[in-house]
Amino acid sequence: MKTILEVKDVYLYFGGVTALNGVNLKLKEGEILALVGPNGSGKTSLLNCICGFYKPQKGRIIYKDRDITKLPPHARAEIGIGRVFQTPYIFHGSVIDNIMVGYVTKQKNPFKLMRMKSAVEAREMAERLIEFVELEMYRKSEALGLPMGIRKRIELARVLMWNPDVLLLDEPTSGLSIDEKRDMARYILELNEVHEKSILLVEHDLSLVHDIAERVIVMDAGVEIAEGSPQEVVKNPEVIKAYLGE
Amino acid sequence: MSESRPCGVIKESYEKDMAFFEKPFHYFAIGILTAILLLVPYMLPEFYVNILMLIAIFGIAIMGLNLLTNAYLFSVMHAALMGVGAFTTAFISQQVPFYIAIPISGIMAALVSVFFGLPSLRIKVFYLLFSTTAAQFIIEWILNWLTRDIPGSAVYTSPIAIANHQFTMPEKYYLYLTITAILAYLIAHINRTPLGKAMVMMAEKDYAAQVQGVNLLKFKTLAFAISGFYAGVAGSLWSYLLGLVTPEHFPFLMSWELLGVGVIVGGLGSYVWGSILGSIMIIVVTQLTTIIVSALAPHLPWLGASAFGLRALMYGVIIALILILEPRGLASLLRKVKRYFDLWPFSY
Repeated sequence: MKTILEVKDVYLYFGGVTALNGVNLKLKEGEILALVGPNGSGKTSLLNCICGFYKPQKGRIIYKDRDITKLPPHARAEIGIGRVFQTPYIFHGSVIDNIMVGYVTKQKNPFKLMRMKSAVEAREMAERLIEFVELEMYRKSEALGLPMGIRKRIELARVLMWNPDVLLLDEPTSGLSIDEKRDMARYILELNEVHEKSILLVEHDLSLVHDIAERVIVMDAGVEIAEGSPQEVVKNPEVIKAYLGE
Repeated sequence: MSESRPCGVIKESYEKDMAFFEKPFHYFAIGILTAILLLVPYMLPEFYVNILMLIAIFGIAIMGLNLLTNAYLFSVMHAALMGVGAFTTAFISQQVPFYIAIPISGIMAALVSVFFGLPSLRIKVFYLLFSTTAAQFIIEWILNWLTRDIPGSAVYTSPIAIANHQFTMPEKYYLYLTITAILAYLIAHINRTPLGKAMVMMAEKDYAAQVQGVNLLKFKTLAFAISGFYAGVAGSLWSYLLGLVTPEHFPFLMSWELLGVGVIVGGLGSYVWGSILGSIMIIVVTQLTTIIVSALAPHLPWLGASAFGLRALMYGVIIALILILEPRGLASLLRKVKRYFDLWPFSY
């Protein structure tokens, strides 16, 4: 499989704190790659570097053979990188409003965005995604008042509005009930298997990672300590040490 | 859960679902309102027609400011932007007809708004309030400087006319009404498009919006441009209404009045009805308190020079009461009325 996203020797510092210490990563086309590790190991910082939220002091981010290290975040979204946050970012408005806004990444001309045709097209797309994430009964509800599980689905649907090839999912199942976790896992698998999305998944739930990820990278203190299949990495002594101590 | 919806209304397309009016009752209500507004010049004295035109002017300025504030881009330079529009019209009204002068004034104010709005890419909320405060004073100073050689700094505006026909008061009123209706439609339309929703999404966590594809430079600039354009058109209409403008017409306090009373008391996020109600608050309450204070003054001689302070006090009390009773603004009251009739007779 061809590599769609590559992180090359990335360093990120916050003052004297090293968040990422020369991280390398390759995400292949159509793959689900899980990024696991204890709290503070640098997983979210790495996603933030990939989506452009943080600018690494050293290293490069390559997407589809193009160096995107210096691209601003919105431009990375436009070329096909979709980021879902651990705490969903929902604004005041209905579920439809929250999802429709993803259309601005697809249609860049602001004057075309003002046309009724764009509004209708965005609405049609939003409705299809509402069906995908099974939010039909909430479509006109005020999104800010909805529970975490629903809000995570709203954000996922919004990101899917611009049909990105790579999805960066930051703890998509944190704070969800068992049923909601199962639903989220189903969406992730469908996005990967049916819609051929390449997915970089940060997750603490190792049983979920075991079930859906093809490959796992384990990070600790800003460095990669293990890589392999889920079955392999859980037996790795470095990983056991990172999670359980000496 | 899902919101309550009007009874017996079946939407057959998304376009219909996004329409402004859903039920025959809505068309009926807007029809009645339009008929009343059209008859006003023949039913009421000129003073009240002038009041309505002032409401339209402030309503337009507040519509633009409402859009900007809803994106958490706080601006207290809108009186100055109205001034830019007003002076542009005053300076060019002898050379060009009103239908060119009005959009040019809007564009001028939009450009100034974008220029002073650019710092919003780096600064937010209170800091933006301070930077736009500075903008207000800078623009005021520039207007004073431009009119330094004119006695009283008063620039006269040619009356509205087409082919030597000077508009009568009712014609002028209908023109103001038409412009207000067009601008109200446009801003309400923007609100239902992805563009309008992206502007709302920029509020609070604009960095997160950026990661999810919202180009902050583009959308913030656009928000300031639209808002500035509305203020410029409002200023232009002001200029044509009064026939002359001076920099003193657009003081700093007026900017706060537009934001505090116009947007917040009117209803943040309610671009049309909230803005119009906010405008009514500014104009009608100001007029009412002036009338009350004038009536009281002869009976309370000790009031003397403090009359203006009393007017401001009454104004403040009314605003505070409204905000306590209806924190989401007057538009919220209107929504409750609409909702009652939408669900009538089965409101349970």
